[in-house]
Amino acid sequence: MTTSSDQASPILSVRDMIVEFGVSDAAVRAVDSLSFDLHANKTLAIVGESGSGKSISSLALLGLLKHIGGKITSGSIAFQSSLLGKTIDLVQAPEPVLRKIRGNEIAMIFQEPMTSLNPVFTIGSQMGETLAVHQNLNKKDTRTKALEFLDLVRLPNAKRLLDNFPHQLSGGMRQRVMIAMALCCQPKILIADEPTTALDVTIQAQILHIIRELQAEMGTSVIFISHDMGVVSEMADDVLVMKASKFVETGTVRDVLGAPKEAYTRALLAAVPKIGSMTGTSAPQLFDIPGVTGDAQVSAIAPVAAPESVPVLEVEDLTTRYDIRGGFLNKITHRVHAAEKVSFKIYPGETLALVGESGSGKSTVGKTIQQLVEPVSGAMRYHGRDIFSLPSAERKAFQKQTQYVFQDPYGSMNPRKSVGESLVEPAWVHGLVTNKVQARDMAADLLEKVDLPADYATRYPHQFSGGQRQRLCIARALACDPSLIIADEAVSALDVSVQAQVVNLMMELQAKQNLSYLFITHDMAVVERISHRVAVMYLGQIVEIGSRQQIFENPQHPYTKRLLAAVPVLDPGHRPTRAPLEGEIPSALRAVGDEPEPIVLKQISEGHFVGHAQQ
Amino acid sequence: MSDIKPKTSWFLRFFISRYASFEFIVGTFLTVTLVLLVLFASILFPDGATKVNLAARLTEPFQSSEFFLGTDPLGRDILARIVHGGKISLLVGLLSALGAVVVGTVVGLYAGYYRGWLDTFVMRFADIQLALPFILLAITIIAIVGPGTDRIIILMIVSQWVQYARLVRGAVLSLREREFVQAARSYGLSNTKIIFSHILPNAMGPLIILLTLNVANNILLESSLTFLGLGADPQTPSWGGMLSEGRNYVQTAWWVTVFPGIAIMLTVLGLNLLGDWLRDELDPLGHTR
Repeated sequence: MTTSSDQASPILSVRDMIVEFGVSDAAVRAVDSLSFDLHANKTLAIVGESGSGKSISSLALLGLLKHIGGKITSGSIAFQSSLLGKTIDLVQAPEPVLRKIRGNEIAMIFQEPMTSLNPVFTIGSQMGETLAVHQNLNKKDTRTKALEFLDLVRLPNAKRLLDNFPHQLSGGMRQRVMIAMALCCQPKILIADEPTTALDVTIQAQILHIIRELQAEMGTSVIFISHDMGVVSEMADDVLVMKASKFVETGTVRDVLGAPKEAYTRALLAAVPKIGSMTGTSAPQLFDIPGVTGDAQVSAIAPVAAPESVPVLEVEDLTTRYDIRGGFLNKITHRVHAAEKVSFKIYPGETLALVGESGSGKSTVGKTIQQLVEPVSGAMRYHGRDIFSLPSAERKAFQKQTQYVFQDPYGSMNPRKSVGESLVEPAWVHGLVTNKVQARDMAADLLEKVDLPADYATRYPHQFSGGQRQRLCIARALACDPSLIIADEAVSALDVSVQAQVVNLMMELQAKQNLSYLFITHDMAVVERISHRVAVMYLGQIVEIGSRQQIFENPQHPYTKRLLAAVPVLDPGHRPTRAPLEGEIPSALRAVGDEPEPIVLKQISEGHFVGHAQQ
Repeated sequence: MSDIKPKTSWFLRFFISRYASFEFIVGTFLTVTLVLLVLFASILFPDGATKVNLAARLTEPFQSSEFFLGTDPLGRDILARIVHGGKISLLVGLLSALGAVVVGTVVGLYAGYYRGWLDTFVMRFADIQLALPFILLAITIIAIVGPGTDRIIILMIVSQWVQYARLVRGAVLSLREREFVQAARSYGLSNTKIIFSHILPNAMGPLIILLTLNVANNILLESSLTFLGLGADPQTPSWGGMLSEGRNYVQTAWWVTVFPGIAIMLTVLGLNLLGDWLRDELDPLGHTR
């Protein structure tokens, strides 16, 4: 096995780099003496949780810290520049030199493909800008060159794309454009800062495949910044782990992920849900977090709820469409078929996971159940009572029984209200508290339930970390003592170790209070941990539904298989051999009158239904 | 983690925690002083500000104790006129801005939150009104209802609620999609409650800034209207009126215009500082310095 040491001198060598923000006496250290080497044609992954300083380190390499108020206060970054024909120190280099190197020899791909392209310029002119600056090409040549690189990232119809604006492209396509832009000057180093975090898994698989192939073709070195251990395991040759702006450990991907030396790395890896790790078990399982012992009684999560009991919620043929209006008379021209004839049941104490990629309509189903959007047709029975046939006042009371937890823990609490006020607001609405003393007691009680100190009630949301805030949102959801909680990507925005804790908390609460969850997510690995049953959605319809074991161990529908195959596997020993998936996720937008083909679910074994399109 | 607000009475907290704020001290000092001066104008200067003394016309300031800030071309005491004139200026400036902010905010909140025909109707109406020149509107309305201080205030409210409505509506459009608003809807909070307890507090920041600037503008606007003969009786002193009367003497008798100008400046400064302070106070993020 080749390690980095038996190669020629590194292309980039960082020594004792310290990055500070703010003025000398009140400076905050964002990176504390970081050293690493990057070798030609290798991929170094920098991993760590949010706030670990991994993105700051990458910006430091490009000399971009000044824009955000940071400064490299000591250390060196030796870079073998072939442009200048010598090794230079990027810390000392003057701005004009850095400008020549940026985008030319060291290029960068950012996380958010939606915002890293300028919306008012065409793809062609944005790519041309980089080429014109660094390679002195004329307009015609930049166009041919841009075309060449768009072909390289396997964008279909590259010629037409050159004249398109960013909003006309999907997220995956935009990220490919970003890669093409980054590569068009054939850089020696490509810095990819969480390039696939904002993308769906099947699209992520495409992008990772493209980066790997291009690296092999062009001999680029890659610095890959990620929090996703599965992705790192698939991409990296070497791994560097950071924690709270400090270096933790480094080594080859096999060593670090296979046999981590440091306790922090071990804890991080233990928190990563590994798909396939629960083969053969039927009940959900808590994450094993080192140093934290879960509640003893929680080990007894019921495997599967008794199917003969009355379901908490029964959804039948639920259809929700969004109208798109246009034209002179503002007529409905198109409809988004967000949910089409969706049917499922949730039993007491059970977690049903609703999985699918963006645009599959999984959130719409959740919002329809919570009555945030009106369905076109369908029925919803709560403990056997038909909700949509009730008068509106009674329907409103039903909102007490189901509670919604949103994805973004930063956005879902009013920043101007104290946590105590926010937590008990649902209880005020439904008359469960009537005076301030009761409200204060309830807030303290709720905080205790989610393992936070009761005196946090007087604080404001910005004083909490992301994980704590998501606990607060769960606490608020518990205020009305609901029987069903809809968790819409509730743990997707959290760091893995925090995610594990919040998932554990949810499972513990389920065991204690016999809660049911509708767990809406795109993350198959978390689903495997938490769910009793799984429903897979594609373009607004359920294509497969069954117990967790049935879906994960015996997937039948081609989309389910595709989804499972696209999940990056944390196994540094073997690289995935999956065939690159081509194409985009189709849109659920349809012209009026063009109804989608309904999918008929057929039972193939006890409780396992698979969809077949009616021909 | 930063300071935690104790849950003692807001009154106590108000003075202890904000006492150290520069904005609060200076802003309160300026505003309170001006309001007191204006309130006790007739006690401080019982002669009123209309006494003509042609013998002492255009006395320079700081020369005599009788006319500390000098006199105007008719020999009237400038200090007395400033103190008396503050009555109309502050009344018009504050009331018109407050009225406009209330009307505009309520309209903006509802239009932005409910969208639909209400939004379309109100905003197109606002566009039409913005397209009309203010002076034309003022002349028309005053011609119909006749001049007077109260009419001016109403005229200003009518013409200025639009900018608040647009500002608030813009903020609401983004706030209504935020997850905490969705969350509030998900647990069944009524629309009115959501609008006033979740959306409004988050839209306050720019509103307060616009309000304080608007007060200054309206004090000056009152003077233009008075100048055109559409305002109050020109004999009654007002800061704006003093400015326009003194403009012929700027080269020879600077004090006639400079002192009322300073009075307007101090009022606006005081209100702006108080506005800044209030905006920080309302924003919990403002506490973490």
